[in-house]
Amino acid sequence: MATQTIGGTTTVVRRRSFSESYVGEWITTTDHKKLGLMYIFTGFFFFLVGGMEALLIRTQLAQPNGKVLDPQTYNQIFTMHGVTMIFLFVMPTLAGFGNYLVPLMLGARDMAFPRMNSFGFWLLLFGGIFLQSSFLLGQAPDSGWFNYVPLSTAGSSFSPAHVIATPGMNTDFWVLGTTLLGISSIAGSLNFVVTILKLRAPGMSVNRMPLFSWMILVMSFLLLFALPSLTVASFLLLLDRHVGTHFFDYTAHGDPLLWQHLFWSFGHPEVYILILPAFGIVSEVIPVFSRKPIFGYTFIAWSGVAIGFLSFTVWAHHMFAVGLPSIAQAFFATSTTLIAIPTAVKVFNWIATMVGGKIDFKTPMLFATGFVAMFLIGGLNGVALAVVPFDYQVTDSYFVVAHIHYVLFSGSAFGIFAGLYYWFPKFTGKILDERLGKIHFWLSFIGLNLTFFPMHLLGILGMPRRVYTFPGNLGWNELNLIASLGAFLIGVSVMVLFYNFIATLKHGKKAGDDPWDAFTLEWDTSSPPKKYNFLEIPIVRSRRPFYDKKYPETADWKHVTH
Amino acid sequence: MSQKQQDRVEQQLSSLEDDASAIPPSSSIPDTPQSETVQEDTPQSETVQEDTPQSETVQEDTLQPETVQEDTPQPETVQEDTPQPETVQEDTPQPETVQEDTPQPETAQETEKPQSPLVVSGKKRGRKKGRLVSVEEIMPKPSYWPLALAVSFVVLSMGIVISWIVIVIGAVLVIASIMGWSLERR
Repeated sequence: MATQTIGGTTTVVRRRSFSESYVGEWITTTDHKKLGLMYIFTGFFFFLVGGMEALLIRTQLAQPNGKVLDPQTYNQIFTMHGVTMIFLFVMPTLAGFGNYLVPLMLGARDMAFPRMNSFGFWLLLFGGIFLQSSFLLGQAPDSGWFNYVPLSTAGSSFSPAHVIATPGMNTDFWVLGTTLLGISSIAGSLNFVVTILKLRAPGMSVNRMPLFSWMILVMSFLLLFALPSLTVASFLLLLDRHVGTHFFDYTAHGDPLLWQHLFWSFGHPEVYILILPAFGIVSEVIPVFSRKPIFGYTFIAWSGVAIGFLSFTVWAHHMFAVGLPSIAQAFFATSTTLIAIPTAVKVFNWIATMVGGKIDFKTPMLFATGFVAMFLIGGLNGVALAVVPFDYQVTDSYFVVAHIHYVLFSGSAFGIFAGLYYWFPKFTGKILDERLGKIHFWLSFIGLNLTFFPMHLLGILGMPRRVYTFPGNLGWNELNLIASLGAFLIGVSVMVLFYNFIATLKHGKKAGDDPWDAFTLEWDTSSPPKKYNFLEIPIVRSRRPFYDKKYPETADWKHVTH
Repeated sequence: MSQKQQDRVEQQLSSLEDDASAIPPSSSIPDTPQSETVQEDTPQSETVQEDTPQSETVQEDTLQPETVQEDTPQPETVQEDTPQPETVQEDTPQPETVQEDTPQPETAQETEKPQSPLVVSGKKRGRKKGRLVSVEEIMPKPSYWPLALAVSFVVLSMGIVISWIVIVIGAVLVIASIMGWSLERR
């Protein structure tokens, strides 16, 4: 370091460190906004990977007796499609939105533990690469995203030869990969919980928190309580495979159903982990584009909490067909039906918010309303699956595939798209092209219904899920072809989205700091925000602090007591 | 800094001084002499006290200087688009004009130390005023260790599917990363 005076001005000159270079800044960053963007970018990269896997599946199934993939490769592809979309697209992208937006919404300058935040991201990225690298060895996980035993046991090493099992490293990649991603999620969740509970701006009581922050809080608690179950199951399976224990080996008095209980006691809360933040996004978008405060804020917030609690009581509805005792079936059928109530409360509140509002169907609002309509289908066919006799008929059929995709694609993914179009101006200072956005929406909307609605019928007609091909005389041909065409339409819509990204970043319209005339604090910063977010931590007096600031004469705190 | 580096820095600065056009009109080096935190009686080539917060006017945000007595009550809602900087007499910071986004005169390897804008520190509940602090003081510093620890965990996991040697390497890396993280100066 040296100092020098030029014209009476003292300057300090020193060598620039790597962490100050452009690449170094991103690699060493602990800034929640940069990490949020990295999460989102990584999520969309894996969305492309998972999407290509989906197209391979649908190409194989487009016609009977398909020969595009061999059975072993097909098993790997459909397994990795599920793992990639759940663990590497939806979770990271929603975590990215949370990372970027929660501190801004709460009036904080960063997350509570910035370096742990960075650790969580890097573990996600390398965990994802670790999982996908299994393809290079030809040993990608192949036992389904739920990795059921005995399919996933080591087979010939420790079990009788007649057990169909996975002696290669396929399952090890699944076990270790999901454990790495689990550690990453725990790091992120702890950070969210502490940030939300401890770093809120003065005046921002929990009763005034934006609903997105509420849903992130509930999601974080779900992750903290659900992930240990998966980690324990994975560890036991690893011991079974490599040390010779018999936790899941029925020939040595182990219990394969133990895996299902442990997995689904993580797996069903996981579904709500994937959907609750999307509920939060929709709860932010709908009021802004309806020009009204959210209807029934308290009900929306606490129904999220109720969903969180109930999600731990429904796991065995995935296991009706294994022969549970009647009392257990009755309990889990009831609890599964019950969870529809708080979910319906949200739907009614979103609709009530729109009623009487000045609705502006910009792209974020299109995706938000599309979410409400399509998620309703996913919710209702979920209730149908809670009915035990019906579940017996369609369990492990394409009906279940239709259900999960209506929940996760038209639910979580539409929520993500709504959030992306809504907050892209905040992230980049530029606004995504509205015309391309609408094309993206309508192609996705038509594509998803073409793809997933026929799957209901295929399930009812008896087509089992996970089959790599089917004979041509079962009446499934046309429906499969329609589903495959729909999948390619979704592929085209995703290309439109990516073209929109690139075109906007290159020569997009400048957005300004508040292009939607929004209500919450993240819009009370520059676009993109400065490193420190706020020059001064704002003081909050209502649920719409930025609205209050812009419209002091009609400020909420003057008229509303909360 | 070595003598060679010192010479190069001085050479660069001399060239900047000679070539006024090299300094952008709105750069952080204003026309009028600005006092830094160099001790008045100390020769200017002495070490600058880097950690002392600098008060400054951020042109971009059109801050209006305002002198605020510490006990003067503050308005509760601050208009953030036109924030009011405070000159806190207690800390006697020296004014300095900085435009944040203006590139600093620099070569590929050497640069001026980036100037850190001032922000008001977080307010505790029940306390209406924050402190005027530099951004660097309150924002988290960059770190390599989270990345190192993540990579170490992946190497450890890779060892389980490859060989015991890789497990050992991974374990050593994990321990080293945790130690590095713990001992890093925050």
